[in-house]
Amino acid sequence: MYSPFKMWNGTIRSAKKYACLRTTIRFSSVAKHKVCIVGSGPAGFYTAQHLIKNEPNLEIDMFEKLPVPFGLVRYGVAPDHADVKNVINTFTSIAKSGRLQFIGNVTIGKDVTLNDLRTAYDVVVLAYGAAQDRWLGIPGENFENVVSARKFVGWYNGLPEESNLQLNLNVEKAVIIGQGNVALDIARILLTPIEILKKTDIAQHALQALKESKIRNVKLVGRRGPLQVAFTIKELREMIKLPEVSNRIHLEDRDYIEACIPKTPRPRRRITELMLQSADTKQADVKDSSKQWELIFHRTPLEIVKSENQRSVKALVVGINRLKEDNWENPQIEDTGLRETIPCGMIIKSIGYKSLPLSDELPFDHIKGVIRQKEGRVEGMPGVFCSGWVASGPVGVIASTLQSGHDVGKRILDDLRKGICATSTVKPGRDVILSQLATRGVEPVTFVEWETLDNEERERGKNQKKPREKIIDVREMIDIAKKVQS
Amino acid sequence: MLRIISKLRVPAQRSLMMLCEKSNVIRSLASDVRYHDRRSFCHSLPSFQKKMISVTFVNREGNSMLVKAKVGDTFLDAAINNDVDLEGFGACEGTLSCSTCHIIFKKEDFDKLPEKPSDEEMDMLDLAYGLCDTSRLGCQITLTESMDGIVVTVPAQVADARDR
Repeated sequence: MYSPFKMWNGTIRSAKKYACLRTTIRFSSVAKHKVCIVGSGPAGFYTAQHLIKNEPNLEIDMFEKLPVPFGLVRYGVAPDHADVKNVINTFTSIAKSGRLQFIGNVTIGKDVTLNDLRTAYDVVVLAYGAAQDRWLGIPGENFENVVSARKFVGWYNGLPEESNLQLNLNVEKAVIIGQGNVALDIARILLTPIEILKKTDIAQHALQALKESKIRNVKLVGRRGPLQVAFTIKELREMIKLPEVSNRIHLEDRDYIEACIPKTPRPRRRITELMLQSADTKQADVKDSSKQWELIFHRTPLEIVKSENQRSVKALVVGINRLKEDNWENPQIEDTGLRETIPCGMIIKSIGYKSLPLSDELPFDHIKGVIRQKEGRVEGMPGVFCSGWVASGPVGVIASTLQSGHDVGKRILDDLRKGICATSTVKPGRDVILSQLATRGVEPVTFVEWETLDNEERERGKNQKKPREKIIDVREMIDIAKKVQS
Repeated sequence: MLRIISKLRVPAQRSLMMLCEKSNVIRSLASDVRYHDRRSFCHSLPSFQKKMISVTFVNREGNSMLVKAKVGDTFLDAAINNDVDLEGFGACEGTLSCSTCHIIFKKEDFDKLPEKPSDEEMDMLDLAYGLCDTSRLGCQITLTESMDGIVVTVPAQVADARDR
């Protein structure tokens, strides 16, 4: 229970000293204010990093829905991109700095409300990302074997809620709608030799399914052209160099592309040149035994067609586009009226993500799927901030989220110092939240308990010669973390 | 005084050298020492002290941070080892998986860099905000003696992810 005499750092012991501290809080620029961060991915950790570095007088709690931290670094980054996950070392040192308390297995919006947090803390930072799908809105989108990229990535990365994803990999052709880095990740995981995948931290059920997969051809279908691809050059180069896999890049208007290249900035120029070069060198026809990926441009998905027996996906019907040639950066798409049918047995929609509001009171843009905010400050809610994809939309690599986290951190400190979100009453902080959780039967997981789970995953991985064997079941995660004997 | 120093035992000479390091007293002393005295100085010099050079990082607020760094380390090592105030620098720990150690050289320094960037470095640089003709990734460039006194700028990480 919260007591005005109980302070976490243990340095203030008597009521008299506490009374002096209250006076100090009222008049000093930033006294011991309490901050909570919702979400333990890059946005949460980089915001925390800035706060910890620049203001010693803060108590920071970080809530996470799952028993495990790190968000998309654990569940989004592809298993064969281990180096990208090195940021976990930075996050771990932040979590163990003594300046932050990780509180896992707590769902804000269900176990605790946003209002509870605003009552308990001076500052609430929403950094819970984008965990919902965007929809194409075309017929057949609900058929079996039509899945969102988000679910597919969650499936192969061991996200608990996707562990039972129903997938039929017993088909030869897959179509991925979208041409971003997530689309390339999925194509790569579908086509990479098992010998390579089995040495990564890919989830065991996914590895098993991929061993038996019959997928030989993956087409990445995009509405626009080669000059508008959203994926980046490193990932494209990786695809081109995939062992035992050929590629086919369908360039329809090569002259136009070559004419545009000199006008483009260096990154766009280099990736376009790489595509042209690859289109020239790889001319292999599709053979039954070889694997191939293809890039198909200027195609808008219109309808998903089922097979005659109505049990499986048969094809994707697309409209053929033309781009108005005035502005290569943001071209207008025109329907030529022509239609094409792309045969396939599986469709993965890689068209982006959306966030959902944590509570009804949260001002939210339902079209874009982001919180309504300006410079990280949530509209009409002083003291509530947002950081990362929930604020900006689901675009950008970890480095962009790093910047967002640091920028929001700066604004939080500005507001605290100006007294915009600090009140004269001392907020109760985590004590009151933890006691609410206890009465609701929720078992928070600490960072030390995560480390126990982490060690167990690594141990299990050793047997399989993998860096770790991810545990998929939430109950099992909690039991291992809390060393419950089964 | 030189005669006295050269007659000291090696550990005492080392201590004295460490004290004199920053003031260049050692160099002026060493140049005057007779051959046999120089030998007693020099055999301890390489074994415990790698060559250090000065490197200055200028961050996006315009603050200059001068540090000492070892020849053979990278710019990223220099920043990390000296705890330079650069938020988020080197997120992927030097594995060419990010662009957060992006640094910008002056043209004359850039032209003297011993190696051109690899395709892999160029690929990651392509993601860097504020990319220009004299940009490089700090984790890929090894410090040499000729870089003593070099000044590099560290730009902001990203303007807006939707700029691309």
